[in-house]
Amino acid sequence: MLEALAAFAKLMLYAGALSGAGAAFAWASLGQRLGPVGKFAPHIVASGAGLTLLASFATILILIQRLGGEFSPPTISAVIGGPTGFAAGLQLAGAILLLAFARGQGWAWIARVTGGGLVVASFAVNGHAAAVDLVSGIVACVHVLATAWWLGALLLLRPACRQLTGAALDQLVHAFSRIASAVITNLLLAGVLLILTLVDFSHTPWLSPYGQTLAIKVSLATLVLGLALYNKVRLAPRLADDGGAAAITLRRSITAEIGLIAAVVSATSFLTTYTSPHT
Amino acid sequence: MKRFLTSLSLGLALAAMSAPALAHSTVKGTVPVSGSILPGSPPEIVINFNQEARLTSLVVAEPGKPERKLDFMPGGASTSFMAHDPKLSIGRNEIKWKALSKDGHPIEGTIIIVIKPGATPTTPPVQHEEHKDH
Repeated sequence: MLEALAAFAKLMLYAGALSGAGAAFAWASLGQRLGPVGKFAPHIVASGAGLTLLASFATILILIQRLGGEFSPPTISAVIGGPTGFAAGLQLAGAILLLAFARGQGWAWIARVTGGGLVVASFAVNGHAAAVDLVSGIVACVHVLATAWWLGALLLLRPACRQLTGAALDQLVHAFSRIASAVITNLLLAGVLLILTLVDFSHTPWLSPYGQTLAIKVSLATLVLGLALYNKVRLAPRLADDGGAAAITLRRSITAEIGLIAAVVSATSFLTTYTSPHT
Repeated sequence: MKRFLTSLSLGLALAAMSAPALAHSTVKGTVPVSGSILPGSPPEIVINFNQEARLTSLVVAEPGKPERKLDFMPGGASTSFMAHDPKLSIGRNEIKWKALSKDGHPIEGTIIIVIKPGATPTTPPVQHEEHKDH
């Protein structure tokens, strides 16, 4: 029961961190090209940050319960004084910055990107990769950063398919595609590096629960990448010529892409709660 | 293409710097070894982990008595934890421990020590402590 709660809290943490920080990054990078769609960004940033705050608190409380439920000095010291507490501190600080500046104009974007950066940095200091070494933690951070930007951008691109038309939508989608190419390349590289670093292939990992869950995650990720490639190669070029119909199809495809990313994140929360690379 | 090559270079540089390693703390051994039969309470109980962990509780369950907490040291992250003078009772003692693994997973285990006055100290050849993670 506690494990299920821990996995759910982690899923909420991932959802909040990726959407809140991701929307801040995407908003900053796509800027004026978002046009009227920019009005959705503060809501996504604030919702994500709020969810991050709640889930981070919940994760700490559930962890204390899983360690016996006592608020004894050794338990508090282990949870708060270690990497888990450091990560939670970064998440809380980042989420507060995101919440405080979610609606700000002008230079507020720097505070939002900093807040998102703090939230994302928390994945570099705690978890399976961070336990290996700092470099692996940074690789995990790059993986999360890229996923966050991708999800945040998709959450903004989806309403854009309805709100924008013609050249405005075409320019936004092309700007997204240009950045997405580099971001997804880094996402893939970091993912492959993490697998190579964490999984010891000499111990038949694919038969282990970790290996099986990882295989599901990789399969789902491959589907998302396939869909993203389809959007880039087939749908995006049609936006200029076949505006309305192509925009509707793209919106549906983005919805499916977001759903698949949610499935990948769910698999990750299960993977990191119930299993370990070396047990 | 330039961005792709930059990403690839960065990735390969990071790969070269990353060394595969275990990501989960497990118990390497205990003193006394779990399953030991001793003539009297040992002077100390030591739990050694394969990598840094943070011990959060150490409790002994003795026959016919309520569970009793054992003080241990050190307080922070370490690969080795020790409880001085555990004052184990005659009979079967279950020493239950809980810890936070280096990767943030809660882990726990049990060490069994039997105190039998007059017995010749015997330790099993293989560690018997039960150890699981969540």
